[in-house]
Amino acid sequence: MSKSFYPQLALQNIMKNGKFYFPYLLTVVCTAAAFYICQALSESPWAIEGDAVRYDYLTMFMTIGTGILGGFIVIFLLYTNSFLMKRRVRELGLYNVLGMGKGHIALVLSFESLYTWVLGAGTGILLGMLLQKLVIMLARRLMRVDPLVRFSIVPEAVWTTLAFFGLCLLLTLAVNLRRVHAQKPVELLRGGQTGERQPKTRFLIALLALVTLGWGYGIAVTVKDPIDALALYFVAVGLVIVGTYCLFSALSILVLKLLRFDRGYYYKTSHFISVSGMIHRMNRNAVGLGNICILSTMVMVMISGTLSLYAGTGDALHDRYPAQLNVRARSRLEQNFDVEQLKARLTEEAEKLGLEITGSTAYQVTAMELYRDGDSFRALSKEEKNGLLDRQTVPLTAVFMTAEGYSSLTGEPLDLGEGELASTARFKSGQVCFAGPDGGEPLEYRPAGTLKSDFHLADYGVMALNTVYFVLPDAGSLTELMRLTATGAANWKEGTVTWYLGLDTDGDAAAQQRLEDAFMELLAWKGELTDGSGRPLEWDLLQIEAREGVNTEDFYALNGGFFFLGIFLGFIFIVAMALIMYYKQISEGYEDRERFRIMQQVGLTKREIRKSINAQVLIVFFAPLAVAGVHLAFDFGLVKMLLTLFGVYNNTLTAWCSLATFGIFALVYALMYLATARTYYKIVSE
Amino acid sequence: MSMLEVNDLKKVYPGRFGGSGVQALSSVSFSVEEGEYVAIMGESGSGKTTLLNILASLDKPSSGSVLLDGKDLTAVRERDAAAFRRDNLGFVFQDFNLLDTFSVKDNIFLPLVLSGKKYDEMSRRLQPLAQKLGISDILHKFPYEISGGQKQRTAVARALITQPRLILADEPTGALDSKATDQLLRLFESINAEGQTILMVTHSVKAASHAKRVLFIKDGEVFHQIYRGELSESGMFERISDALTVLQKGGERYE
Repeated sequence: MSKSFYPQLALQNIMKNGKFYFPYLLTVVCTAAAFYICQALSESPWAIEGDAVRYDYLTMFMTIGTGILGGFIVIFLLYTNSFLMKRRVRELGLYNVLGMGKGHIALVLSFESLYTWVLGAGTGILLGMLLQKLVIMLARRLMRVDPLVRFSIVPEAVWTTLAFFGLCLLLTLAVNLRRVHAQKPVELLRGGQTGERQPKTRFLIALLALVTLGWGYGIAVTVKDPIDALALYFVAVGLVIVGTYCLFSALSILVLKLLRFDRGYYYKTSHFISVSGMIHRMNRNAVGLGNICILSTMVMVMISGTLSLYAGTGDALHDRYPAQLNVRARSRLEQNFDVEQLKARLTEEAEKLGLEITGSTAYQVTAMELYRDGDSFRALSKEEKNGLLDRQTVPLTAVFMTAEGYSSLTGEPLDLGEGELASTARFKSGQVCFAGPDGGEPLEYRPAGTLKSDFHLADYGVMALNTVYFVLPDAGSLTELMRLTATGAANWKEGTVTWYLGLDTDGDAAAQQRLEDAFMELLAWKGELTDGSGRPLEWDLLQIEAREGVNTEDFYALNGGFFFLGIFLGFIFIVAMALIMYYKQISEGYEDRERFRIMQQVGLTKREIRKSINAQVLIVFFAPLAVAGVHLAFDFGLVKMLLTLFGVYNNTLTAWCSLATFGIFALVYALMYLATARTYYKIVSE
Repeated sequence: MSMLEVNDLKKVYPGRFGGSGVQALSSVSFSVEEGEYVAIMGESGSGKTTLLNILASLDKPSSGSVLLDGKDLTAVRERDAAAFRRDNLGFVFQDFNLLDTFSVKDNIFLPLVLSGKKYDEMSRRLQPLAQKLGISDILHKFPYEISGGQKQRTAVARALITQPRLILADEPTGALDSKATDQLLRLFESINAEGQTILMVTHSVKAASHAKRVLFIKDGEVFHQIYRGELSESGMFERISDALTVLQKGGERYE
C-alpha cells in the first residue's frame, strides 16, 4: 500500500461525511477563533496606549472568560465528537471487516484529527485575527475607552490556542481510539442500527426533578438579602441544572405516559402519533434538550444580568455621586462636626481656583439595626448586637435623616412639625414608637408622610432589602433618638453620624478634577479646618470624590467590560447551541424517515404525517426555550438582589432588560430552528 | 365481475437525462376473485415489488389500470389514496414494518385510530383477532421485545383489524425461521378459509404452495399460472418447482 493511502483515506472520510463533519469542523473554527480572541484580549498589549488601569478590568474579565471558555470547549468538543462517531461506527466496522487492522483504523483517525487541528484551529486563529480588532473596538466602546486601536497579532495567543486545541483533539482522538479498540467488528457493523427501547418510567428521577426545581425556585423566591442571594446563587443554579436534566429525562416522559394512559385522549389521530412519538423523542434527546435548555438559560442570564448592570450604570453613578464633588464625613456626636463650616472652607478653596459653586446638597444620616413589632421599633442590646443572644427575628436597617437633609437631597420640600416623621414604611396606627434596648420611656412620633418606596441612599439598600428610611423634623430629634437607642447610657455620644456634602460647580471635568485634588490636599491635614469657635473640626473618616473623570470612567470600564464579557460568551454559547440543534435535527431526521415510510404504508397521507411530525418537532424544539424562560423569570428574583451589590436598584429597568433579552433570544432561537429544520425535512422526505 | 382486475399494466422508470429508462412492468394482466388466495412468484428484478406497490396505490403505473371492485386505483388522488389504503387494503411486509414507538396493541390499532374509531370498538375487534393469532399475551409488549414470528403475527393483526377487502403480503415469510413460517402460512390458509382474499408476493416455493393459485412473473409479464385445484401441498410444491425450473431455463411459454 502506498504511503499516501491513509492520509488520503482520512481526507476522503472527511469529505464523504460532510454532513456531520463540516459542522464539527465549523465548531472547531468558531471556538478556536473565540479562544484566540479571548487570549489576545487578556494579553492586552493595547493597554500600553494610555488606558492601562481601565484596561486591566478587561484583562481580568477575559482571563475569567478564557477559563470558562476553555472548560466549555473541552466538554463541547467531546460532545460533538461522540455524536460524529456514533454515526461513523458502521463505516469503521466495514473497514475492519474488509481487512483493515485496528492499527490502520487508528492511523486513519489520527490523520483525521491532524487535519481537523491544522484546518480547524488554523482557520479559527485566522478568523480570530480578522475579528480581533472589531471585538476590541466593541469592548472599548462599551467601556467608553477611545475605540481606535491598531491592528496587531498576539503570538502568545496563537501558540496557546494551537496548543490548547492540539490537546483537546488528542483527547477526543484517545476517546475514539478506545471506542474502536473495545468493539468487535460485527458490533461495529451493527452499530447505529440497534433499535431504540421504550423508556422506563423513572419515578425517583421525576420526583428529583420536582424537588430540585422546587428547591431552586424556592431559594430564588424566598431570598430576602443580597448577601444571602450571593451565597445561595450557585446552590440554586446547581439545583436547577440537576432539575432541568431530570425534568427532560424523566418528568416529561412520566407526564406523557400518563397522557398515554388516558384512553379517551390518547386514541385520537392527532394525539396518538404525537404522544407516542414524543415519548420516543424525549427519551432519545433528553440530554440534548437539557443541554440546549441550560445553555439558553446561561446565555439569557449572562446577557440580561450584565445588560441590566450596564444600563443601570448611569443611575448607580448618580446614587453614588449625587453631585459633581461629593464629600462624606463620619464623625461621632461628641466631635461637633459642622458641615456649614466645611462648606464655607471648600467654597473658599474653589474660588481660589476660579470656580463658582452653583449648587450644594447636604444631609446627615445615621443608621442602626432595629427590631420591628407592628408600629414599634426597639434597639438591639449589646448582647444581641454581638450575636451573643439568639436573634428571634431579623432586625431591619433603619436609616434616619432630617427633613432639611431630605429636601436638600431630593429637591422635594418636606415639612415636618414637632413629633412628626415620614418614612418609606407603612404604618397601621397613628403612632410610631422607638424604644431603647432596655425598654424604658419610648419616643413617640406621628407618621405625617410616606416616602417613595424606591427612595434610597447608595450606602444603604432599598425597602425591598429590609431597609427602612425615616425622616425626623430636625437634628435635635436625631440626637435624641441616638441617645435613646445607644446601648450604654454613658457613652451615647460615641454614636456616629455621616455627613454628606455635595457641591456642583460651573467648571468642566478637568476643573473638577483639579478641585478634587485641592480638596484632598486641604483635608489631608485635619488641623486646617476649624469650627466657628476656632476649634479644629474633627472626624473619623473623610472622603472626597468627583463624579466626572476617573470615577465615571471606572464605573463604565467595569460595567462595560462586564457587559462585553456577557455578550462575548453569550455569542459563543449561541453558536454552540445552533450546532447541537443541527445535530439533533439530523439524527431525528434519520430516525423519522423510517417511521414516515411505515405510516404512509399503513394509510397516513403525507400531509397528515408532516402535520403530526411538525407538531412534535415544534413542541420538543421549543420546550427548552419555554423552560429556560421560566428559569429566567425565577432567576430575576436573585439577580435583582445581586445587582444591588453593584448599586443597581432599578428593578423595572432590570425587568425590561430581562424581557428584552428573552425576546431577542427567542427570535434568534426561532431563526436557528428554521435554519436547521430545513435539513430535517430534506432528510425525512428523501 | 372479479374483485381485482389488473389490465395491461406498464411501468417505466425514467432514466436520467431523458435516457431510455428501465421497464419494470411491460404488460401485466390478471384478475383475482373474491375469496381467492393468490401467490405471485418471480426472480429478483422481475417486477414483483413494482406490481405490489402499484396495487397498494403507493406508486402509479405508466399505463394500464387496476380495478378494485370496479374502482380504478390509478385514478385515485394521492390525498384519497391514504384513506383508500386504510379502508380497503391490509399490508404484511417482509420486515414487519412495526413502529418501535408503539406497543403491539397500539401498532394493531394504528389504522383504526387513523380512521377515528372509538377505543371500545377497537378493543372489541382486537379481542377475537388476538386470540386467533395467539398474541393476546404480548399485547402490551413493544416490538423489540418479541420474536420475529410474533412480530409478523402482529403485522397480520394490523392488516386484518380494518376488515380489508384484500390483504397484500410482500415476502411475509422472508425474515422468519421455518417454524414461524409454517405457523404464518397455516394462519393465512385459515383466514383465507374464512373468506379473506389474499395476494402474496414471494420467492419461497413453500409459501407459494399454500396458495390456491400461483402467478409467475418474468421480465415484467405474467408468464405462467398454476391452479392448485385438488392438489395436495406437496403436489403443488412439485409443480411450482417444475415451473420455476422451466422459468429459469428461459423456456417457452406454456399453459
